[in-house]
Amino acid sequence: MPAHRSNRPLGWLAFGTGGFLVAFLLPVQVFLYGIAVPLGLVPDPGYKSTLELLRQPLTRIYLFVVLAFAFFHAAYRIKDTLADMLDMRKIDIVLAYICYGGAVVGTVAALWLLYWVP
Amino acid sequence: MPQYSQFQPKPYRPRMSAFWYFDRWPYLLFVLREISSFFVAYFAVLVLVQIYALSADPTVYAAFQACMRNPLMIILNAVTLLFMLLHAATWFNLVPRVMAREMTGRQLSDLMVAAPNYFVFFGASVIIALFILRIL
Repeated sequence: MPAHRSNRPLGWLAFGTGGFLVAFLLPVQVFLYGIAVPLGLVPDPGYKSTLELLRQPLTRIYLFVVLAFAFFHAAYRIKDTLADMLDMRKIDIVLAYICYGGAVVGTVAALWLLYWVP
Repeated sequence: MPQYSQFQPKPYRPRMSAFWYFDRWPYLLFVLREISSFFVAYFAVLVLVQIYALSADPTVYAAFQACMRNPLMIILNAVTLLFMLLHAATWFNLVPRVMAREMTGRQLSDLMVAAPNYFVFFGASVIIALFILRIL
């Protein structure tokens, strides 16, 4: 009889990797693009220069990895948060499909957008 | 399947308040940490919108930047930053709990074990900032 295999470690691996990437890499992006540049605390590098940065293959690989893992990290936690906070443990499997489905959509969208950068 | 008519035991179903996380500070901190995931998802989507705006043309990117200057967006992004820093701090502070603590025969304090994370965080942040600001 084959041993029962759980798919739990797979989700946790994505969650864990995403947790590290988000913790180390995203706060500075939120601060610069979300607060410092809009408020004029730092000089805005401008459209052309930012597009040039986005055109670099390394930037695109970096963004894809960070975004994909961030989506799966968030999906894992949002699923558990909704189950715990709103007492939705009963529809756990439905929540999992919705959350991971959203993560897959986000990852495919990231791949698509980063591939089609002019 | 046995049939019980009058002595059917009542199943034990503990009822929990929907607001259990307001009971104690550690519960609230736990829930706040979990809520950070919504902000992570929001920011990841925002980055996708930014990539789209950059790929479209300068006018679309200008509209995106004008939207980012909206005070409500700045407040939302400030809250996002706070939640992400909470996620980062709680994540970094986990290391002392899952790693060996012995070094040179002495027990290291939690802060000392978590400290390298903070150094890497600052180093990575500075490097990314230099790229974003197009200095590197």
